[in-house]
Parts: sequence; C-alpha cells; structure tokens
Amino acid sequence: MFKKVLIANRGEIAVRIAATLQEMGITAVGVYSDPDRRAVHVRACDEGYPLSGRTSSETYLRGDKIIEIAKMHGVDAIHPGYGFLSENEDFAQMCHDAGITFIGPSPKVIRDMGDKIIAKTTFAAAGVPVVPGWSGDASADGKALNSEAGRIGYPILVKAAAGGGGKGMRVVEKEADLAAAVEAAQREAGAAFGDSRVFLEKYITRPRHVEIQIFGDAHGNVVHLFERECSIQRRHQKIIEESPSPALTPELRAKMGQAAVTAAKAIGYTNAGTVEFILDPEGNFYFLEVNTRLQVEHPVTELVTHRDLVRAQLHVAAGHPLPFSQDELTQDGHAIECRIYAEDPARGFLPSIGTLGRYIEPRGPGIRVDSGVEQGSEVSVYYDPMLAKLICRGRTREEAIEKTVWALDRYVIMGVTTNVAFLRDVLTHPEFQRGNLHTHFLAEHPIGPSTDEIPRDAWIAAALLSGAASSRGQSLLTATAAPSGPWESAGAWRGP
Amino acid sequence: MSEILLKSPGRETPVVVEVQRCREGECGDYRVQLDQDAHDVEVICVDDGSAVLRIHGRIVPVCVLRDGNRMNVWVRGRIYVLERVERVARRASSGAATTAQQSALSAPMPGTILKIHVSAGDSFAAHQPLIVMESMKMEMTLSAPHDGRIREVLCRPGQLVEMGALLVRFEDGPGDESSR
Repeated sequence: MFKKVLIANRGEIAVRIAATLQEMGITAVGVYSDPDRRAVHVRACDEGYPLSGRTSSETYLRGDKIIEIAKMHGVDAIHPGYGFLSENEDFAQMCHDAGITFIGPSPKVIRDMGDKIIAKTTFAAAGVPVVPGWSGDASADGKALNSEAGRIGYPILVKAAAGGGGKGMRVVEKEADLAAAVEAAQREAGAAFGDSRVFLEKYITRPRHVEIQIFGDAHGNVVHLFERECSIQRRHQKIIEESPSPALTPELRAKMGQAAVTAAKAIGYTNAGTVEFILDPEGNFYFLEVNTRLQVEHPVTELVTHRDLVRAQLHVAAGHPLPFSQDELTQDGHAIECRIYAEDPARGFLPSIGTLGRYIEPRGPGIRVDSGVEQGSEVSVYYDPMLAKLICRGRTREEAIEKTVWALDRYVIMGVTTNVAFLRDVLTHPEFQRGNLHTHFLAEHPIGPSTDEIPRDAWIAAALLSGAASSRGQSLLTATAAPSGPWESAGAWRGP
Repeated sequence: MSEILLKSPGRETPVVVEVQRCREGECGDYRVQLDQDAHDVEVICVDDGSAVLRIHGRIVPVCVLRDGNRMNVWVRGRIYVLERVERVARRASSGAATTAQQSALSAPMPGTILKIHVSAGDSFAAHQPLIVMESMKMEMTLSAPHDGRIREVLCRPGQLVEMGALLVRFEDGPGDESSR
C-alpha cells in the first residue's frame, strides 16, 4: 500500500479523502492556494504545501506544480478528488511519467470517456441504449446544424463534448434559437474546459437522472454498487441525490447495472466511475456519460452499501483486487444527500459570498456531514460555492427524508445566504415525498415556505440578543458559557 | 423593563417588544411582551450570539448575527432579517430610494468580465444584454435596466471586478444638462 498520498483538491472532498488515508496509516499531503492557507482541508492533512496563487488556474489546476511538490516530498500517489484535475488525462499521464500513481482510471480511458462523443459511440457499440443525436462539427456549417436538428426533432439539447456539471449546455425549443445557443455553449465550454466542441442530442422531456456506480480493478473485475437518483437539479447541477432510486424495480436495476458493467469491461475500466443514464417515464434508459472520478454524491452509495469508496480506490490503485465481489454487495436502507451551497434560491441561485459568522453542523445517528468549512471561514469568489454535503441514512426512504429534514432544521449557517431552507422545502414537497422526480422538478414545482411570516420565536430571540435591552448598550444576555458553544458539534467527518 | 422596537425590512410599522427581567441572577428568566401576549422565557444557556431559550416550556435554540442595527435571526433552519429601530420615527429616507432610471450598471457579484456587447455612444433598449460576466464558475448576462445610451465603458474583457464595481455608465435622462 502507499505510504504517502497527495490530495490535489480542496474543500470537503480533500477533508474526506484525508480521513480515509489517515485511517489506513497513509500520510495525507495537502496543497493549498493563498486564500486557502488556513482552510479546514489543510489542517485535516498531515503535511501541507503551498500552490502560490489565488485562482483555480493558478493553483489547483496546475498539474506541473502539484507533481513538483509530490516529487519533492516523496509522494507515491495522487488522489485528484472531483473537479479540478480529476478528469484530465494529461495530468494522469504526467503522474505516470513521474512514477507517481494517479488514483483513477488510465489516461486513455479518461480521454475516451471525457470526450462525450467517443463515450457515446463506445457505449452504443457495447449494446447500451443511447439518446438519438448528432455529433458533427456544429461550428462549421450552419445548414447542416439546422437540418440535423430538424431530423432529431425539437426540443434539442446542445452539450459540450468535454462537458460536465451543466457547463456548456443549452436547451433549444426552436430552430430560430439554435445558432445563438450553440455559440453560447461553445463559448462557455471553451472557457470552462479549453475545448469548445459541442454536439446535439434529443431532449427527453421529464426524464429522471439515474446513475450507476461502477468499480473496476487491474485484474479485469468490474462490479456495480447500484444506483443513485440525482433528478433534483438546478441549472443542470444536482442538489439532492439518493439511493436507491424510487423509480427502479429490481429488474430494471439489474438491467442498468449489467449494462454499465458490460460497457466498463469492454473499455478496460479501472477504479471508481459513474455511468450516468437518463430514464424516461416509460422506464427506457439511455446512456448519458461516464464520470471517470469519485462523484460528489458518492456518500449515498457508501451509506447504503457500507463500503468506503475512497479506501477501495486506494486498494485498486495499489494493484490489489477489488475488496468486494458483486455478490457481496447489497443495498441496505436508504440514503439522501443534500448539497449545501452558498447561494440564494430566491435570486436564481446566485452565489453568495461572505464570512461564516455562525456555523454549526447537525449531528445525530445516521447523519453525516462532509464539509470543508467552519465558523469564520471565508466563502470567496475563487471557488465553487458548495460548502458541505449533508448525508442521512434511514431504513426506508420516508425515514431518510425525516432525518434529513430534522438535520436541515438544525444546521446553522449564517453570514452567507444558503440553500438550506430551500432544500427542506423540496424534501417536504408532496411530489418529492411520493418519489415523483424528474430533472425539471424545480422548474415545474414552485418551492418555498408556506408562509413568509416571521415566527414569534424570532422576535423574542432578536429582542433578547439585540444588544439594545440593557442600560449599558450590551445585550441582555452576555457570554457566560464555556468556550465551545452550548450546542455546537465538532463537525469532523465521520466515516460510513 | 426595556422596550425594543423591531421591524422586518420593507415593512413600515415596527413591532414593540417589551422585555422584563424577572429576577436578579446571572442568566435568568424574562417576561417578553409581544403583540398582546406575554411569554415566559428562560435562558437555558447562552454563548455570544447563540442561545437556547425555553419559551412556555418549548426548547428553542436560536442564533443572532448582528450587523449594526440589522440582525439575522436563525430559528429552526431558517434565517429571518430584522432591524432594530429607534423610538424616533425616521420617515425622511423612505421613498427617496426609488428612482426611475439608473445612471450606471455595476457588478452584482465579484467575477471576471467575459464579453462587452456595447461601446461608448451606443444606444440600447431595456433588457438588451450589455455585459457577460463569470462569477464562481457561472456565466451571467447583465442586461439593460431601461432604454438609454452608453456614456462610458469602465471595464474590459478578462478583467476581475469586485462586487459593486461600476461597469458601464449611462447617459443621464434627456433633460439633464451634464449629458452633452
């Protein structure tokens, strides 16, 4: 096994990876940008080295700097987390060339699957259903573009070949809007991925997003760890994920799992990956894309399978066979993840920045919080505004929802606007509770509190803590409690 | 007995909350008069800005984050904004903030300027896209708030701008002397 692993990432995922490394007796090496010098993820590691600079492109995207640090400090392997360099085949290749193990699939698999056009062709060849579309050069010929779009039929989805996370993606309802949408998608894709190629796909109305977690080793074994349903999205980005999916029958689950495994075997897939499908209301599923990395939402799989996916990644990367066979894997209970974002749902989910003046995580049985922030943390413009993930497990879906609502009600985040109350309103929506999900759920259902009235308790709290009530201008209540707050939690990541 | 005036922003009428300390001690019991009702409130524990209250027997954790007279109050997963107001009514400022025309467009978020669709002297119509910027990895289009003409462009593509930074200045209304 590795002795020293560098985590080429920041925030909650770096904290979460460090925890598993340390459990396994592996030294965790962190890297950080200037604004992250005092960040939680740095302190979670055993060693930390600077990537001088502020923006992502000056720091966490600088594969050369990261490999230099790794070589200088005797690192055996690099875990890229998600985002940043996780799906960059050049970086994976640079690691191999430097004699450092890249924890993920081979550079070739990353490249092929990173190109959505190649990925789609590959999966179609392996017998997996794919969505009708066109992958010609959209920028070259406006006429071909229009006629191909007409053949597929509107509405049409314009997607970036190198895309992910909804960037470079546009829905087009009619031909008149097509050219402008293609241009915008190309610009966004070019800026985000350095590759502006886009392709067209039939837009399936009211689909579910259901993905299969796969895992392969260097000995030719590939298994799946069941599905995650990630249909609750805003701006094409997931905010609530769960496993199992309320839409899958055991037969459909087996069929989708088998399709993912067959295709993964065909391309020699190793390490963790996710095969994303869309599922139409009739139960037809279509291949969407492969994510050749650990997913943001991997904890829901961990909580229902009772497996640590990062631990399994390290085993496989070190050349060991998979630590579990298909027959040993089961789905036990139900898990839901909520992504906690610094953003304002009332203003089009516009990111919110500021200092976390109050930050208290919920804790309790079956509740896991993966976070990369603490009280006093600065939420800056430089990085993704996701603060944490709240993952709750129950015996049933109802129980998991109840637990999540309970935890959201006790999650204190002040100083930035967050989506905490919005997530609660989604989870308590009757259609969510019935499991009637699709990717336009948030667009179709108005989400919000039943009343905008300020509750009595808030007036009372404000009066008592306003600082106005005493004769000396201090709050009536003065700090008398112990240094750690009266009801705050430790907030450390707790394993599955 | 203390009398505290609170209001939610956007509402004119403040709510009067009367707080009376019931007995001497460190952190004790209060009688809080709100609207027509009196509430017995016991402070179970308190730490600068957060407290656990018992209101008629109900255990209520609360957090208050103050910024001048403005308070963010956290109760059960939701945050409410309340403002402390002085006894003297301040009516003068209300109404003045609503002007029909803006004189400039500023950045709603810190971020990077991607594209500028207009230059000085250009006329524009309401809702016309003027500037495309990227903030926290999200692209957003800033559109014209009303019809008008550009006086000056104050940013360039690729520039990193702070929140509130002026991006373009508009010509003033037709009746204004200063615009040529």
